[in-house]
Amino acid sequence: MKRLSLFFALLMLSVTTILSQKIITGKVLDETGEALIGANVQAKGTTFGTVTDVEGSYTLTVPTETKFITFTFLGYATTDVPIGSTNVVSTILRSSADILTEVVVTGTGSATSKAKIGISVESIKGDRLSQVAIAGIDQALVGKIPGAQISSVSGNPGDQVNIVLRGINTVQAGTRPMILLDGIEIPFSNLNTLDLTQVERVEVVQGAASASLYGAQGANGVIQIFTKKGTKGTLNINVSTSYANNIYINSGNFGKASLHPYLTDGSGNIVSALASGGFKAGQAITIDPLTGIVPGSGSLAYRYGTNVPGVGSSAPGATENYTRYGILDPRNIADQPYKGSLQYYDHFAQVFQSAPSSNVSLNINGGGDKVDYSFTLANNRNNSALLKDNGYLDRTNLVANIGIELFKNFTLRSITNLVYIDNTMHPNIGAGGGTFYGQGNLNAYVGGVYGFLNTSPFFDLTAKNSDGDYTSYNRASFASVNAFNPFYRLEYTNSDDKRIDIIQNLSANYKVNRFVTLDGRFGLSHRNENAYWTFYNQSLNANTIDQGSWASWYNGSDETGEVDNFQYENTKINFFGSATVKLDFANDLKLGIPLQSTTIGGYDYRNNKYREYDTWGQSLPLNPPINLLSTKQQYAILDYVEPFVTYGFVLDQKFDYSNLFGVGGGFRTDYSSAFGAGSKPFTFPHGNAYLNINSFEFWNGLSKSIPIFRFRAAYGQAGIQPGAFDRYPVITQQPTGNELAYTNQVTSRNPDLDVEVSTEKEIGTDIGVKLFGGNWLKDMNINLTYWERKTDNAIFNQNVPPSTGATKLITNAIGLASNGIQLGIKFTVLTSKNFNWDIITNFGHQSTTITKVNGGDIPLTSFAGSTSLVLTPGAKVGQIFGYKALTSISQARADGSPFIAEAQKANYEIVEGRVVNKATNAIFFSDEASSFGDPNPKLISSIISNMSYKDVISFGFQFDAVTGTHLYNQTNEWMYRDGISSDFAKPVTINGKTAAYSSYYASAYYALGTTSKGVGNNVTKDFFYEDASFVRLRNVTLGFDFSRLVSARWLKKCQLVLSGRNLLTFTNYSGMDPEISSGASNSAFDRGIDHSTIPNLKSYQATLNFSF
Amino acid sequence: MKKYNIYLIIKSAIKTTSFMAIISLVFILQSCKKELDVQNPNDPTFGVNVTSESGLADYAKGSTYWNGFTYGNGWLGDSYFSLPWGYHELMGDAIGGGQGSNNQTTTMGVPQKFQADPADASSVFTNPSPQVAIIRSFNTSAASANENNAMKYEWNSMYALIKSCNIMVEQLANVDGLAADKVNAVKAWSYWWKGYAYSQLGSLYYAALVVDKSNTIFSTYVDHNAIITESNKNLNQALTTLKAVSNQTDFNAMITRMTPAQNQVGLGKALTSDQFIRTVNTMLARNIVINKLAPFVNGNPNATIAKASMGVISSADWSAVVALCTAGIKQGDNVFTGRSTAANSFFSATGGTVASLLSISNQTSTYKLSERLVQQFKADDKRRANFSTAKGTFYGDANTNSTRYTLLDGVTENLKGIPILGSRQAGGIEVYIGPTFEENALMLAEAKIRTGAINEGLILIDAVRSYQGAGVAALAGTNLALAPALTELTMERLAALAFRGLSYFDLRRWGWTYSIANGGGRYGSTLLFKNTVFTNATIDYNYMDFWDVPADELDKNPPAAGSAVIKNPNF
Repeated sequence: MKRLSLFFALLMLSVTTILSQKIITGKVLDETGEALIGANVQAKGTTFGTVTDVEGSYTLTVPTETKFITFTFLGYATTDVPIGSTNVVSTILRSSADILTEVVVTGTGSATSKAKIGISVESIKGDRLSQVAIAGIDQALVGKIPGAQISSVSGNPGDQVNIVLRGINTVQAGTRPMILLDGIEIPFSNLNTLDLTQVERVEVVQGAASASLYGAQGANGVIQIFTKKGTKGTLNINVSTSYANNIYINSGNFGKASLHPYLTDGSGNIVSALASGGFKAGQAITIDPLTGIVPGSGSLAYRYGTNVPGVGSSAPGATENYTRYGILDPRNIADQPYKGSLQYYDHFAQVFQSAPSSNVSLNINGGGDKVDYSFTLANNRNNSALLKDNGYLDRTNLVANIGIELFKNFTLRSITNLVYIDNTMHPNIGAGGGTFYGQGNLNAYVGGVYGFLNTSPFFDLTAKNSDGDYTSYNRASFASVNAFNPFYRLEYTNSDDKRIDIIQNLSANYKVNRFVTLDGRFGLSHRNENAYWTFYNQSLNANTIDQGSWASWYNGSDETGEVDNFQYENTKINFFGSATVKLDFANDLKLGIPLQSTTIGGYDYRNNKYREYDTWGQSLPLNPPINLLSTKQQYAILDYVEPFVTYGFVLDQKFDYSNLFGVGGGFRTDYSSAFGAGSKPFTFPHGNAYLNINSFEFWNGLSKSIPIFRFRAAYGQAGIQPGAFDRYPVITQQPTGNELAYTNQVTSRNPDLDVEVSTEKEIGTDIGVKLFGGNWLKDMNINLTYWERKTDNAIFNQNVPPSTGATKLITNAIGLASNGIQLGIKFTVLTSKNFNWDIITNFGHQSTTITKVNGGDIPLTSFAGSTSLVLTPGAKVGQIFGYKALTSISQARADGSPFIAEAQKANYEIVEGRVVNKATNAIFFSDEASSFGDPNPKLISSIISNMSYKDVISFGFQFDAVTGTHLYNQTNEWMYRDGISSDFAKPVTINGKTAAYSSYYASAYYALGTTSKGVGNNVTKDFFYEDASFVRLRNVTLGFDFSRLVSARWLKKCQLVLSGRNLLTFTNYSGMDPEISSGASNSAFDRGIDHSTIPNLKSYQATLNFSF
Repeated sequence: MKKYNIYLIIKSAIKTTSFMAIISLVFILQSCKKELDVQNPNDPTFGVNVTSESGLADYAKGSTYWNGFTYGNGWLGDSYFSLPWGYHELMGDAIGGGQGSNNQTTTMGVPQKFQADPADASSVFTNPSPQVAIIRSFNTSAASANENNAMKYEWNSMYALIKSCNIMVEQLANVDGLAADKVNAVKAWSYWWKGYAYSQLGSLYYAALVVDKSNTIFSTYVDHNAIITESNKNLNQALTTLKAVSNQTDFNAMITRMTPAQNQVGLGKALTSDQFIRTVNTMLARNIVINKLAPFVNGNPNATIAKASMGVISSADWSAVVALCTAGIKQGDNVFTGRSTAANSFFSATGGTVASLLSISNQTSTYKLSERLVQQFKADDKRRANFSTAKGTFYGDANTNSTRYTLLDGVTENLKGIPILGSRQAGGIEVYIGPTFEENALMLAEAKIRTGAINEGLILIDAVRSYQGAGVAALAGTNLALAPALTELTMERLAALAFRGLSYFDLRRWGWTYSIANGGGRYGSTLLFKNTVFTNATIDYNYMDFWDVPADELDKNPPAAGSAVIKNPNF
C-alpha cells in the first residue's frame, strides 16, 4: 500500500502544472431563499473545489481559463453556471425533480450519481417517508419503493412488515432483506425499532445484481438507512409531538351472525332439546352463572335434525338436532334473533377497541468548523387496540450522531442508537417472548385472538361469573368448543418484556488525496431482551376447574400457573474497510480520453452471536409473592447459542467514459462459518453497464424535450447462507424427567449442503421528458426496470422415506425462477414561486415459479394450520392447494367421468356460481385437490402526491393499490364450524326458495365430494379463497406552518400536521383487512392466509413540529 | 496552488500506511480462519458423546423412548400412546371420537352400519362416509403434512425406533471397554425393541420394510407375515443374548441406566435377564395370537371370515402359545412401562395417553369412553369404580360415540385395590408399553380354552380378575361350555387389557371388525342411540384389517422389483 500511495503521489506531481488563477465568490441558495450549507462548488473540468459555508457563501480559486462553476448538492439538480466578468457566481439550486441527479451509495460502494450506474437503486428522502403513528421505518416504506412488495400484515404494535423485494430466492431463509444502518449491517428486526424522525434517506437495492456487493448474504436485497447529521454552523432545536387515535380496520364488515337457527320455544327462547345438563326438554337454556357455560350435551340444539320430537326421524340431514351436525339439516334457517336469557353480544366491539398512540421527539443539532452533531431523544407509545387494558408497546430512542474532522480530510463519525422497548401486552395477545423470539424472525404471538372469534355470540365476553372472575372456556354443548375468552387472559396472565438495543457505528474516512479514499466502518449492534411471563394460579376459577381449560404456555399439566423467563441476547459485529481509487484519464493522466476509473477494494467481516436462555417454573401459589422462587418446580427449557461468522473481500472496477457510458464489474468472495474452517470461499461475480443516450451529440436536438434517455443493464450473483448448524449433524440433548438423554434428529442435517446462489439479470431505462413549458406539468421522469433471477439450489427440508427413521433432510432441493418489472414515474405537476406539486406513481409486478424440486414434491403446512401448500415444479411459490366447488353440473373428474351421474343431475342447480344439491342445500366440492392459482398480486401500485404552498401549507396523500391478490379466509372458515359467521344470516336462493339456509353455508365447512361431513371438516376449499385486491388511502396529510405568520425570527418552524393513515379501504374481501397475512413473518411461502390475524389500524393523528 | 513536494508525499504515505496498518491489524485479529469452525456448540454428537458407557446409555434412553414414542405424535395428545394407540382404541371401540375432533379421529372409529334394536328396522344407522375409503383418501403426503393421514404415525414412530436400535448396536464398536454383559444388555435391548417395532408394524400394515442398517434406504417391501417373522427373529436374537448373560450386576446396571428413572416405579423397574426373557417369550406369543384369526362371532366359536388378510390360528399355533406363555411373564415381574412426570416427560400426564385424554368429564374430553368397553365389566366388577355416570351423558354425532360414562381420574378419586385406568396426574398411571402378566395369562387362557382345557383357561381368567381386584364370582369349576367360556375370555381381555394398544387386534382376530357380509360383526352390544340405551345392538364395523403402506414412504421409496403388494387387496 505504501508503494501504491507513493506511486499515486508521484503521479500527482507529474500532472501538476503551475497555472494562472482567479478568485470566484458567490452564494448558493435553495428555491425558498435559504442558504445551502455544504454545497459542492467546483471549477468545471478541474479539481479545484470547495464547499459553501454557513451563509451559503464560498470563495474559490480557479484557473483563469475556467468557464463554468459546477454546483452540486445532494437532492438538488446539479447546475453549471458560466463565470461572468464580475467573478461573482451565485445560484439557486432547484431541488431535484430529476431523481437521476441523486447520489447513491448502496450497491455501488462509493457515492455515485444515479446517472452513472448500471443498476437500479431506489432512494427516498426521510421527509418523504410517511410519519406514521407507529413511527416505524418499515411501515413508512410501504408503497414508496417501486417494485417492492412491502405489506403491513398485522396491526399488532411491534409486528414487522413483510418485504419481498425481488421474488422468492430462498425458501428457508424467508424474504427478509439485509438492513444496513449507515453502512453497517444490523438485524432486520431493528428496522422497526429505529426512530423514524432520524432518517435522512433510505436507499434500496432490490436484486442480486446490485446486492452482489454484499456477498453471500445479500440475495434478498439491501435496505440502507442513513441517519441525519447535524448542520454545521447553526444550532437547531426540533421538537415534535404527536397524538393519534387508532381503530381497527374492518373493511369487510366481518362479524358474527345476529340471527340463529337454534331450537326455540313459542317465545323465541332457545330451549333444550333433551333433559340434559339440568335443563328439562323444552326448557329455556341459560348460561350457568358460576361455570359460564351452557351445560349438557343434549341441551343446545338446532331447530331441525332427525330427532326433533314431532318432526320425525328420517329427515334429510340424517343427524340429530342436538349435535353439531344438526346444522346440516336443510330445514334450519338462521332467521331468529337472540332473546331472553341468551342475548347477542358484538364480540368485535368488545375486543377491538380504539387505542391511543403518541410520539414525542427532541432533536438538537448543529456544528462548528470541524464538528457536526445531532442528538435526538424520542419516545413512541402504542397502546394495544386488542382489549382495552391489554397494555402497550413503548419505545424510547436516544440517538447521537457526531462527526469530527480530526485533521484535514480525515473524518471520524460516531453514530449511537440506544433503543429501549417496553412491551406490557399480555401473553398470547401481543406479548413478546417465546422460544427463538429473540432472533427477530417471529412476530409476537397473538394466538389468543382465535378463541374469541370462535366463541358463540350469546356469551358476554366481558361478563364475570358469580365469583367475580372471567371465564376461560365459554362452551355451549357442541358449540363454541374452540372458545377461549381473551378477557380471562387479562385477569390471569401478565408479561414484562423489556428490550434494549445498542447500535454503535464508528466510521473513519480519509481522503488521502484526490485519487484515494480510505474508509473504515465498525458497527456493533447488541440486543438484549428479557420477557417474563406470569400465568397466575387459576385453580379458584370455577370455569377452569369445571372445564379443565386454563391459560398456559409450558404448563399443560394443570391450572396452577407458571412463570416463564425468556432471555435473549443478539450481538452483531460488522467491520467494513475499503479503499477507493478514482482516476481521471483525461485530467490526471493527460491521456486525452475522457475516461474515469473507480476501483474499490474492500474487506468485510461479520460476526453474529445469538444466545437464548429460557427457564420456567411450574405451579404458583395463590398468594404473593409470585415469582420463580415461589413455583413448585423449575426447568431450563433452552440454553442455546448460535454463532455465525463470515468474512470476505470485494473488488469492483468501474470505467466511465465521460457522461456517455460506463461499464463496471467485479466479484465478492466470502468465507462462512456455516461451512466450517476447512471450506473454500464462495465467489459471486457482478457486472453492469449504462449508456446515456442523451449525452451523445446526436441527441442535442431532442434534449429539449427528452433531456434524459438512458439504458442500463446489470448481472450479478449473491448468496444466501444455510442455517448456522444445517451442515452439522448432531444428536439432540433431550431432558428426560430429571435426567438427560440423547435422541436422533427427526430432520437430518446435511454436511453436503451448499450455499444458495441467486443469479440475476436486470435491464432498465430512465427517461426524462419535458412536457410543457410554463409552470404546469413541466416534466416527467420514468424509471423502468425488468429483472429475471433464478436460484437453482434453494435449501429446504425434503421428505425422506420414514423407514430411515428420519422424516426430513435439509437439502438443496428447490429451483426457483422469478421475474418482475418495476416502474416509477414522477410528475412535476406544478412548479411556481409559491406552489409546488409533484406526483409519484410506483408500479410493480413480480412472480416466482418453482422450476424443480429434487426428490419430489414437498407438501407443507402453512402457519394457518389446515390450509395445504405444496412445493411442486411449475407452481408458484405459496400456491394453496385445496378443493374447488363444482361450477357446472356436468363437470368431469380428472379421469373424464362425471362428478354427478346423469340421473342425479336434476337434483342440482347453480347457486352463487357453485353447484348445490337442491335437497340438502350442500355445495358440491370436488374431492380432487387442485391449485387455487397464482398467489402473487398482478400489480402493486401507489400514487403519492405532495403539494406545498409557500412552505406554509402542505398537503399530501398516498393511495396504495394491490390487484389480483388473494387471501384464504381461514378465520371465516373456522367460524363456519358453528355457523356463527355473519354470512349465515345472509339469505340465499336454492330451489326457488330464499332463506338463510344454515346447511348451505355449513356445507362449505363440512362437505367434500358426496360426503356431507367428516372428510370435509375444515379442509381447504376455494369457497374461502377470496380476491383480496384493495385500494387503500395509506396516508393523507395536511400541514400548516404558523412560523410564517409570526415575526419571531428564532422560530423556524411551528407546524401543525393533521394526518390519517389507512383511512379508506376499497375491497371486495369479506374479512377485516385484505392486507394482512397470518403466515410466519416474511415467510417465502406462508403468505396469503388470513387466520385470526389482527387487522391493521386506521389512525387519526395530530402532530406539532417546532424548530428553533 | 501549492506544489506537491517530497514532504507532502512522505506525509501522505505515512498517513496512508498507518491507516492501512490499523485496518490490517483488525483483519488479522478478526479473520482467523479457525473462527469459522463453529460446529454446533448446543448439541452432542455421536463422535464425542456416544463413545462411553454413559453416553451410550443416554442415547439408548433417549432414542428409544423419545424417537420411538414421542416425536411426530404431537397433534393429538403428545405421544405414541395418545395418537397411534388412539386410532387403535377407536377401531377397538374402547373409545369414541368427540364431536370436536378432527383428522380422522371422528372417522376412524365409526362403523359402516349399526342396528340399535334388532327388532326395529328404523333403528339402522348407515355411515355415509365409511372408514376404509376415508383413511385411504387421506393416505397422501399432502394430507400427512396437515396431520390428516392417520396411517403415518405408527409407521414413522416404529421406524424411528428401529433406527435407534440399529445405531445402538453399530455404535457398540465405538465404545471401548464395555463389560461383556453390558454389551449384552445393549444388544438385548436393541433386539427387543426392534422385535417390538416389527411386531407393531407387521400387525398393522399390510406390508413393510426390513431395515437392518441405519442411514440406508431399503426398498423391497415384504408382507406383514414376513415382518412378524422379522420381529420373531429379533426377539429370538434377544433371547440368545439374554441367555448368555452371566454377570447379573453388569447387566442390571446397564439396563437401569438405559431405562428412564421416571419409568422405574412399580412394575417399571429394570428387568433382570430372566424377567427380560419372560417378556420376550410373551411377546413371541403375542405375535402369534394377534396375527391369526380366531373367529368368535355372535357366540359362534367356529365362525369363518371371508376376505381377511390373515390366516386362521391352528392348533399347532395354540401349542406354541402355550409353550411360550408358560415361559412368559409371571405375576410381579418387571415389564416395559412408561410413567409421566410433571415436565420433560416423553408423554405428558394430561395428554400423553388415550386414558389421560379420557379422564375428564365426557362433556369436554377429547375421546369418549365407549359403552362397549364398560359393557365388558360385569355389574358387580369392582373395577367399574373407574367409570362414572355422574358427569352427564355425552350425546354424540348419531354414531357409536354417545356415552353415559366418564373415565374418572383414578388418582384424584383415590381408587384402591383395582388398577387405575385413567389419570391426568403426573405419574398417575403405569403405561404398559410391552406385554404384561395379564396378557400372558389371558393368551394362555385362550389357548387352553381353544384346545379343550376350558377349566384351566377359566382358572387363568379368575387369576387375572383376582389380580386386578375385580371381586367377581370365580369361573373355575362352573363347567362353562366353549362359547360362554370364550365370552368370558373376550370380556376379560377387553377389560383387563384396556388401553394397552391391543383392543383393535382382539376385535379383528375374533372377526368382529370384519363386515357382517364377510362373516364378521359385533353382536349384543350396548349402544346409546337417539337418547335411548339399547343392549342388543348389532355393529358392522368393516374396518380395514391391515393398513396400506403410508404414502409418505411410497412417495419417497417406491417398491423395488420383487416387493410384496403394498396395498391391502381385501379392501
